Amino acid sequence: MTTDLDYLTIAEGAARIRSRDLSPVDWTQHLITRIEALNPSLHAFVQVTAEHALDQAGKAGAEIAAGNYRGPLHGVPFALKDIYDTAGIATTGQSKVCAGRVPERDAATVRRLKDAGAVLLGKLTTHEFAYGGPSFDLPGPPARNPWDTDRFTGGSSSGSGAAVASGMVPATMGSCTGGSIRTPAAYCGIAGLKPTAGLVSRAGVLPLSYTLDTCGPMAWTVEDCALMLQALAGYDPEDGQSVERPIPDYRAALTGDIKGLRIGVVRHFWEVDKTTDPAVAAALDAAIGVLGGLGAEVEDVTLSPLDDFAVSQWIIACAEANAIHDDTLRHRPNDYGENFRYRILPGAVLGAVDYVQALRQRRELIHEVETVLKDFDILFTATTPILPPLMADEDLVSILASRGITGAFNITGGPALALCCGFTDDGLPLSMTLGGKAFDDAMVMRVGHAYEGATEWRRRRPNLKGDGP
Amino acid sequence: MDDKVSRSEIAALVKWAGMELSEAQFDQLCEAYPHAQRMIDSVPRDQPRWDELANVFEFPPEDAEQ
Repeated sequence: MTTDLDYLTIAEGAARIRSRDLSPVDWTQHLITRIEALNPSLHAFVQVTAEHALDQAGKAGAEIAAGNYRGPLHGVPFALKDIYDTAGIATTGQSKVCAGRVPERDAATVRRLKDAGAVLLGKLTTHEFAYGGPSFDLPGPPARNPWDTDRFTGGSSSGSGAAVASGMVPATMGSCTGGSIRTPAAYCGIAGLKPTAGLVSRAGVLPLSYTLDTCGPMAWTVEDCALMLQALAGYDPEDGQSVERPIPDYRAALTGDIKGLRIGVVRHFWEVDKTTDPAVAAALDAAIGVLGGLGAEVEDVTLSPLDDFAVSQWIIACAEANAIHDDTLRHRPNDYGENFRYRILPGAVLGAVDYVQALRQRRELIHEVETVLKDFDILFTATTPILPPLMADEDLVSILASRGITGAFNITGGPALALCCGFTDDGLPLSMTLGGKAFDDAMVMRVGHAYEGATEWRRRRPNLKGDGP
Repeated sequence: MDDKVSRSEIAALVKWAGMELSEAQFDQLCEAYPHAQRMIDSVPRDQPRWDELANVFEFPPEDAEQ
């Protein structure tokens, strides 16, 4: 049995809060109860900050009642991947290396969300330091997929995906170095945006790769991602990659009209460069048909083989992660989980020249994609070529050898949005990706929002054990 | 394990990196190393000398003029 407060999106909840039809305290309390019911089987939350959340929700309600409505995140609950620093609340990256670590300051993004009036509901499961996983030797168990709890959520923002898909919270923050927002968004059937590099501050977020890390929102709809990005985007001098740019009205960009927009389909990523599940391929073809039906001009384009992006991404990420973890890897290797150590150790023996050559290759790839995007408004491709894997099928060797599609947009730095484009006959979600020009995040969300409005996929929810009051 | 790099060569790399791994961890690295080797072998090394590193993204010309 479900109630009208289950699965409220940000946009729906915000409208009810603004009209005084819903109090932030009631919404927050409802979600706390829901987390208590669902989290034992999904393991999405590592910590629920119930007392803090109810206090913040009460203050938000009082402000709104006094006529001081801050905007669409005011009184809206959210949760954070456990790599975002939270003042006075443990932030461990799900690693024994950071056991007991309690930051003194909030991450810049957390401050921005709180300034917008959002209510922090807790911290979410992640792969160790946003790498590796799923692992069973960390301080907490891996998150499980709400659509089938025997299956992997994808990672590394695993709890962020599971929490939104199961309706425990309407919005979460993920982070992405090679696909850690879009992969769990895909496997969990939600929307996830990797914003343009430099648009959202990473200050106060445990780093994995200095030049590839990006912070971004995950939510049920593209519209909710836009509402989150509005609060998150902006220059931050504490993040060396941050860029001062005008911030558009992202929600206003969601016009529903994509007539005449030019969409380049990077078909070879899933048809040639990867072995793709037939259900994924069929859903992608159907999605292309929907976009064409909405009036977009769709045309296949060719980029470098996916492996070129994957090689550059892996070497850069692995080298930079080793630089970050150099001291603790040398002196406390046993404090890392096996999966993280397995993935990162080869980077310890990479040469400096290998790293520099990978960065030079990255520049070539960026230039190539930017050149293609002069003729198109966005690119379309698969998010992941496979269905959510069974947990039991995940092994270290296959994880290391797999080269995803998502990393291509970490290499370019441009925005990339994963969104649900259907379900298998067994009810597993399928996903497509829209990639855009640097700082044209509004465009990928405009197209994604139009697609969601033209399809029925946002009306479907998982059948959850423990769902209901 | 890939026959291009021996365990003793990997041991030398680990020593050079200043790491002290248990036997089990070293075995894991030997298992994972061929993947790294394939990646390293795949990086292009024939770029013109003046090709510089990536700066993540490039600004459109109209922004550069501002």
